[in-house]
Amino acid sequence: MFQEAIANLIAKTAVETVSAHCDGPCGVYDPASARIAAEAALSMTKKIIDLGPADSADHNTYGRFVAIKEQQAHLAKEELLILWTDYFKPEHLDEYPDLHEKFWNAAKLCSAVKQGVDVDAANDLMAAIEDIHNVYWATKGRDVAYYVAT
Amino acid sequence: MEGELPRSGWREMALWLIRRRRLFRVTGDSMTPTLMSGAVVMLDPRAYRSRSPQEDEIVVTRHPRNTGLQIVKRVAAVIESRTESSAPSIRLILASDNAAAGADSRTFGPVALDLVLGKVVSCLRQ
Repeated sequence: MFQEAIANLIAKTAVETVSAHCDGPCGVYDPASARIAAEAALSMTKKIIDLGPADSADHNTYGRFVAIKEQQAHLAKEELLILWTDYFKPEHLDEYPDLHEKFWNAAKLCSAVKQGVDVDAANDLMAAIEDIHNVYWATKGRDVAYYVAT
Repeated sequence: MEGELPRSGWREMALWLIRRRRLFRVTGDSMTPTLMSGAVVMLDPRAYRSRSPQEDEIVVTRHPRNTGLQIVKRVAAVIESRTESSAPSIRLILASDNAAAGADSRTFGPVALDLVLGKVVSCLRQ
């Protein structure tokens, strides 16, 4: 008893914490971060097409558009991979056996958007992310409506 | 394989008084049922000065991808790689007792020994 009381007193002085959380401590995941990047890449793809063949005055603009498109497509891929590997667990596969296929296809679409000027691929990526959005929120038991910014 | 952690006795408390033990409060569920969230454990910071960690021991380590974060995990395997020119390097494969709740070395890979803060030797409060 006495020992227990002393132990409890000492325990109260513990100020340092150690995490036994899953991975990072925040646990905040949202497919929206991938959607925003993919939407930016789609927008830049359209802008590049609208710009048409670049004459010398437009080379800077053209270069910027391409750089932003590639950066955002890459970011979308990173966000998807984090969601895939850090959030989703084996038990989710029981309910969504094609989960790996969905992420793999979405990641491949990110590459296609990054490499080319391909509106179809960019639209397909948005659709793939909407699909992942629906699966993700279903695993959380929440009904969260999908939306786009533009 | 999941050994129970002994309760801290008088000896452990005395060692804490002379600063041979550090106290840590556990947050999160990845080490249940051994350590519940809110448990307070005692760490021996000198445990691995004279020997290497062993399988099954519980350690506190810095997260390899976020060294500001201290995590508590169980040693699943010890990898010792020897090179002719330098001292053997030791890396640990860490696992959560509650595998369903935790990402561990399956996601962050092996952990270098110099990230390890010490061995969890007893549990002051469960």
